[in-house]
Amino acid sequence: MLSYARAGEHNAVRSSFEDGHRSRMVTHLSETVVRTEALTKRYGGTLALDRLDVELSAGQVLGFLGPNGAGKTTTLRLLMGSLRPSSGRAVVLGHDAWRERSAVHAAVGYLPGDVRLWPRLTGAQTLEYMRRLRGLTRPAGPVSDLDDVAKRLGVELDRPVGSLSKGNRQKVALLLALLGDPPLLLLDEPTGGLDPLGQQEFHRVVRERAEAGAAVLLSSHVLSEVERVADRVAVIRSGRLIMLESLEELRRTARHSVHVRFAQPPPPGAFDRVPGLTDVRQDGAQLRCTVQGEIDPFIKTLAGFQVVDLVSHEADLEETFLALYGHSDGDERR
Amino acid sequence: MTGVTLTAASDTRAPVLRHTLATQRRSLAVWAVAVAALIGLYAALWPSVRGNTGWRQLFDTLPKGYRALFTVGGNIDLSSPAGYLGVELLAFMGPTLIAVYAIGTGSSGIAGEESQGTLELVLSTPITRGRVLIERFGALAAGLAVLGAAQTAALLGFSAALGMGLDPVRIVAAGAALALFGLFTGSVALAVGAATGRPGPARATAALLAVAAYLINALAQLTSVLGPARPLSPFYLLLGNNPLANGLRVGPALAVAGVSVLLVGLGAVLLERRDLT
Repeated sequence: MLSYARAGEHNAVRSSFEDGHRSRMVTHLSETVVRTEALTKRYGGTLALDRLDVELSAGQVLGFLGPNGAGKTTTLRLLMGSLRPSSGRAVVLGHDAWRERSAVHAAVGYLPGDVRLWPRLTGAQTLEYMRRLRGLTRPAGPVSDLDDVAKRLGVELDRPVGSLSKGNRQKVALLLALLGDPPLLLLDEPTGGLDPLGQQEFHRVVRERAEAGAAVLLSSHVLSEVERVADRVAVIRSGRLIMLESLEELRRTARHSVHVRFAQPPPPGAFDRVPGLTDVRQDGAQLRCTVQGEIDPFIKTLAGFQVVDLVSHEADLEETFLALYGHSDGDERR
Repeated sequence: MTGVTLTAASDTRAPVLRHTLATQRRSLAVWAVAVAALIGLYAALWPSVRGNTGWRQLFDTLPKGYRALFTVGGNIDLSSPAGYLGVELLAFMGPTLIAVYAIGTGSSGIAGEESQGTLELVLSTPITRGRVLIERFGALAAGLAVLGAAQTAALLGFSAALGMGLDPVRIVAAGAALALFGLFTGSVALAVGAATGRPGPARATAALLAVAAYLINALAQLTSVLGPARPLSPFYLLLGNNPLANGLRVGPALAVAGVSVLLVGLGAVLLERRDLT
């Protein structure tokens, strides 16, 4: 059974795609879906992306992590062939992303970072238009479960998109990316505007696609999001890849800001020797500090006191990077 | 969520063209009615113009430059319906209206969608950039054909109703001439928009060229300096002979259509090579 049912005009695209080493039904998990080779993009004098080398295999979710303006969107748009590389290249399923973008697009579901839809079309009409653009005569095979995904995410498909909230527009855009059950999903900050439940369901959908064999590149500036869905993480900053690590390694460098209220003020210096604790500020019965890496020693220490309230949140990435590398964006640039 | 079907079969031919026409359906209808209403207004005035020789005398007292601006050939023939409508409709108002429509439609084709951010979504599918441009050009041509047909139908109707006795073949010629003038200005807007991605410059360039075409034709009648440039003016080539009285000059009309296609082709090449904004 084919997952694509294309009309005549896109036949060339389909056959070149199927003649290649890939078929949707036979998924080799080790197969490379995306490969960039010293991919570089310059805008005038600004280096937006500096010799990026990344690989992504089928069935894998790669979290693309970095603060805003780091080059995530630039990378995804290079992979889509929207931008021409200044040097280097991106290869998607054996096709050059710039020169053979049609062939690439036949295999990619794309969720842009800044979702803009036709305000007067309903979600269903938008899907229908995109399906025609994709040359899908009908949603054969797994695509028909789009109805199911729409229900799970609670998408309002019968209202004009312009009247929807940002989160609901985002859900429509996600359905557009899933259209045709593409073997590669490029998702640029996909959960922006989604409520926590919507995010959770969305992450589940992404995982399911990956388990069905799709490769997923998901960009985010939130570590916890990437943590939930990604198998591997590429961290990018000022257009440069700083690490391409497993999540374990990244988690070890993760930082949390913690705010604790005690029933009685703990004795001064009670937290001086807890490993991974920095920026300790104790003010009577209140403690503010930053925990890096394992939080367990800190929790064990806290257990010795009566705790009234505990608030912990993930430090934002820019903070983490500054702590890790100790210099600002400007120093990174050459 | 009920009643939404995502499973029906789709017709995937010319998706951009059909989407564009579907979204423009209502505004295109309004434009067609406006064109017909304008012609109705001029036609209704015809009986009073015919019997009034004072107009003619007034016109003859105007300076030659002024006359050149408001007529196509510098001469005015208000004694026949074809001459009257040639001056009133084809020398200024008609081309202005059609250019406004065409420039708006042309600039929104690529640049408009790009600045709204929806082009990226369209181009995330296997459809090529060139294909989107061609289908947008097709939608522009189809819209102009509708307006040309509206003018033709209105002229046929009012001519019959008011006994103006206009030649049906020349009525069609006038409709085609106007639509082709729109095709030229719209193609400039579409091509510049495709090359730059910016609707403002696309509109400005097209409007500038439309005004230049108009002024070159008008001023060439006053000064011999502009004489050699006159055959380069699409305004002169299409409307310079008052097609309502004298028919369409087929060669020049094809030349204007050919240049329009060439411009869009050039736009396609530049669109293919540039970064999307």
